[in-house]
Amino acid sequence: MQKENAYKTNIKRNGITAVSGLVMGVARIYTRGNININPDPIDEVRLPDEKKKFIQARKTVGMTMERLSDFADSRNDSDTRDIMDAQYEILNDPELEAMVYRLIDEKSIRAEKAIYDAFQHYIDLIKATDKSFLVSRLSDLRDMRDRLIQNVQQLAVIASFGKDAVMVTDDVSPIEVITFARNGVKGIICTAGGLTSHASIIANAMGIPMIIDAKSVLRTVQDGDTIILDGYGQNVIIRPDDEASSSYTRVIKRQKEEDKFLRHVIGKPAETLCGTKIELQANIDFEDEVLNIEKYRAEGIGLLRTDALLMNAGPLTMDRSRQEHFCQTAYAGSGSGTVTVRLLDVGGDKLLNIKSKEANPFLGWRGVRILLDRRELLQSQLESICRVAGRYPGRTRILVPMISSLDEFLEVKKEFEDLQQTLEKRGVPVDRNIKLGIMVEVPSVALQIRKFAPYVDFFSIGTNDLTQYTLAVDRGNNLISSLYQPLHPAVLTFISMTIQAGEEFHIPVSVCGELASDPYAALILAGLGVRELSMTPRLIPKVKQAIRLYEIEEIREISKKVLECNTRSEREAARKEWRRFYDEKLKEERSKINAL
Amino acid sequence: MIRKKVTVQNDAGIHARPASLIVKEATRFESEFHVHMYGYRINGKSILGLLTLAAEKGAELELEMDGPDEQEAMDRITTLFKNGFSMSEE
Repeated sequence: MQKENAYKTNIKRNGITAVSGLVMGVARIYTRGNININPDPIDEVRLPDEKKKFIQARKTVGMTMERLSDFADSRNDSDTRDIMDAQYEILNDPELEAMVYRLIDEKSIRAEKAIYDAFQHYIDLIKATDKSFLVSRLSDLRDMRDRLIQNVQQLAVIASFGKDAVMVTDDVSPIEVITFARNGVKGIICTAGGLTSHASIIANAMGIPMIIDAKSVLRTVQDGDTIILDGYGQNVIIRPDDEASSSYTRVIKRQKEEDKFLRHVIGKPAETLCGTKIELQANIDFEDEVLNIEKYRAEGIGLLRTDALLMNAGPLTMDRSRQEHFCQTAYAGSGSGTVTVRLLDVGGDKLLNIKSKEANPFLGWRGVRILLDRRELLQSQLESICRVAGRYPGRTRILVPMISSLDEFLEVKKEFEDLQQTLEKRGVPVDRNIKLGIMVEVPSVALQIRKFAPYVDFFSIGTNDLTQYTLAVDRGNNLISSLYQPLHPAVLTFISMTIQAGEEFHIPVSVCGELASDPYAALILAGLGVRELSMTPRLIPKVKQAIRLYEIEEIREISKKVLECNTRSEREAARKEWRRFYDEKLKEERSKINAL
Repeated sequence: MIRKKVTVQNDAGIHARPASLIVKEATRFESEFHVHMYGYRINGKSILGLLTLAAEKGAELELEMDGPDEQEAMDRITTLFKNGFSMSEE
């Protein structure tokens, strides 16, 4: 490819921030190569590493077996469904694993060669049966083999990039984001826009800043260039000059200092100066994140999203053993904390192909509406959750998404109760204390929240959807993005109504939307009376720091002020004023810490 | 250790989906699980092993279960064969 401006410095290119942050590093152009297997023996000391590579590749491929878009394509294709069901079992086949290990040890070969040979062994055996119902499926085995090998090789390539790498690539898959994260990549820049949200969800959870839709970057950047990824400014700076470098270095240094101070609060309780406790819980999307619960001292899981499991399992089915495994990992990784499992919440923006079929996807077939139409899916989810809950009694909450009427909740509740009875009859240990609650995200529910209160065990407010439904603003639409205002008084009023109903009926209320992770918004929510906030674990220290600097009365004042703001400019002014005072508080706090 | 003979009853034989159902069910139990057919003995928790048997409708297999939960495990697996690996979970 002809590079433009090859020797110019300080070239700025715009993009869209998918994960916020600011990093400076070495640009590494990432492309996907063809499979090329080296059969030569290697030194014996490297053999254990080769085994590790296989296990890591298997885990990565397993986590992201199918992308969401494939799921919609093949919804009614039973052949695809068969093979996708079998993929997980093939990947985790104990005999395959044993053979790969044996080959590595006995022949001193690389993981990719061992994987290739082990698959070949089975392919040959199946071919020899000469049964068309099996032979016609061999391409799937080859596909799985190639994906594993590709991943092993990617690992090698990415590992060679070193710790300062900022990946520049056309497009990125969830698998690749995970692989990048495990190898300490600093940032990701993609030229493609409109990525499946899953890749950016993973990047966010892993704390890797990411810019997408940076169209012309690949034409300008050269491998090894210094590059700045500025998620705040939504741009990329290629080959920064001395002035740009030093000014960004200053900002990055300040960030690092802030992070250092944040480490001081990690082990401290999440409470105000006067001792009001605010429970800070974790939003968890996938297994790798579970470690962050302990790391950032989240108090249980406020939102365990199960949507990624569907993506992996394929067409509208969920593999029960995988669901159980995921839940098990979550319980095991969260001490004795509560685990709030949200039932499948797909639809709308999460299924691009359905979007093209529905005129109004956000008002369409999603969340509980899908679950009630596909009972077997609902039942299989409930069964997985209840089986695991039985092993960890007293910790489970089940959250039903996209409720817009009481009938929907009562139907789910009936299914849940029937299932618990069936399990009990079968002799499976069950937890009689599982709490069943709803997402409050549709205005009709918030308006009539008292009608729900006698039936539900807890409320969880989803601020993203509540905002877009209340204000009639599609949060993905750039033309109206300025109208998307989660702190709009109308939204806060709904939240406030939910809290009041919660207090009246003694029902816990939590907030699990993105809003909770913004310190200012978290304070406002706490001021309204929310005592449980759930967010990406790595953002917990920042929120905790804010809570610990105020009396609850002061926090109530902050909420009151924003409720009185009638216009956007008033709200912006209120936020700026808060920021000024908050920065002062932080400065004081830091000088105290430094004096110690 | 217990053993039991079963016959493949579904028309399509043990292809990917039935094999994955068997593995899913078997891995829920602690017991070791092996399948005998034509003098071969394969690990019943290995889907690739099951596929290489290429068991068609009418084929006779012997299941061997060994472990603390062998009876329940055997019951669940034989039910799968009896129902011809119908799509339902049970």
